[in-house]
Amino acid sequence: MVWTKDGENMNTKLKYKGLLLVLLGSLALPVAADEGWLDGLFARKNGVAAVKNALYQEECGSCHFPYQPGWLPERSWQRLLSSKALEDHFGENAELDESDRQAILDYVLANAAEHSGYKRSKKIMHSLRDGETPLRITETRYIRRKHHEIPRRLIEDNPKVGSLSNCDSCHTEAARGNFDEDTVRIPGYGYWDD
Amino acid sequence: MRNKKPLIGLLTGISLFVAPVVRAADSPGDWPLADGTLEQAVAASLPEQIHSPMWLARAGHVTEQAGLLDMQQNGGGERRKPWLTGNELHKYLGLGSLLLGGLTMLSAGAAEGGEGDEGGGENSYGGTGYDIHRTLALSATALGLGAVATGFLFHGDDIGLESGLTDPDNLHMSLGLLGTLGYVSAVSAAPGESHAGSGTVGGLSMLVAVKIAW
Repeated sequence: MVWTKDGENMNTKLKYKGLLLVLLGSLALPVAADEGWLDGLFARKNGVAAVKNALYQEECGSCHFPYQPGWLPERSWQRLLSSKALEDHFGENAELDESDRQAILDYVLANAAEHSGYKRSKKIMHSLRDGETPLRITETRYIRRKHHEIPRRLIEDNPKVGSLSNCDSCHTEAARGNFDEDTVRIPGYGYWDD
Repeated sequence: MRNKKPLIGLLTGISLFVAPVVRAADSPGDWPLADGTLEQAVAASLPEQIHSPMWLARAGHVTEQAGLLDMQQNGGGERRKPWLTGNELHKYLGLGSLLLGGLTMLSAGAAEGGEGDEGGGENSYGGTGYDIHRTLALSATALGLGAVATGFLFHGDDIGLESGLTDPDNLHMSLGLLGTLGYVSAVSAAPGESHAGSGTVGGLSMLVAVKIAW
């Protein structure tokens, strides 16, 4: 035992310093994880899988936000990307070369919501009723519920947004598949949390 | 370091105190009471959740007013993200609890009859190793309780039995709760009774809960 002149146990002092270091470390690790420094060790899957297909990115992303395949089930993509459906793709002609269409279809089917381990894909699947085949992501119950608190003036009546379908207008990391509420910034309004 | 029971209360109290503070800072109109009147605060915090007929007629007006107030309070600029959001607080508490739970498990060996053990016997408790183990366990439990509280507070709307227990958020909530209960159970039983089992189950539940939401 080592005693200070105040009668305090030196071992106890050292012990508290050690504990303080451990506690500081316990704060540093979550921050490091949050900043993405540990992504290589512990990949995050709380959003949807990012698009990693150049053809899909180029063909679909040239007209609208390239929605991640994990937002819809296979049956939805099959209907959306049929040759006939692409002739009238929400009012636009989006016909593709057959080889490109098939390549894109193969990609989205392989990465559709039911095949994804990402959290929001699972949430989408849980929100669908048996046999329900949504053709718009924004019409799924999950997406409607997640946005129901946002006033119309911030979305539809907001000229910088216009529609819920413009994901990346507010979700600043949408392209990476990160839809955390902390990354939401509504143009003209700013940070939003629900 | 004999009577540290207040520590768990203190840390839990801090967690539970910080949560509503962050929540308030997050809510529309950033601390409306600090700059404006109570009327402004109410208007600014009124989302479109007011469904009673009495309010429906005024809903559009209130919404517009809230938007105007938002802009006024921010000097015409956009709302900025708070330095710590409720989501981040919940995440940090959960990860911290998991980490401290792991360290508690690692320190278990040192807690039994280690150097500085004042009792010196096989079933005695005391000394530096025991104190560290105990403090880590209490801190892990406190952070776990804070994570549970902030989870319900900030993510309560993501939980619902209609999606079934396999829904990722329901699973995350159930396992996080189970993990914290495991911690509480272990801390309550320690040091006299065997508590390694409940502590370990708690730690593993917490690990899976974090991974599901990660």
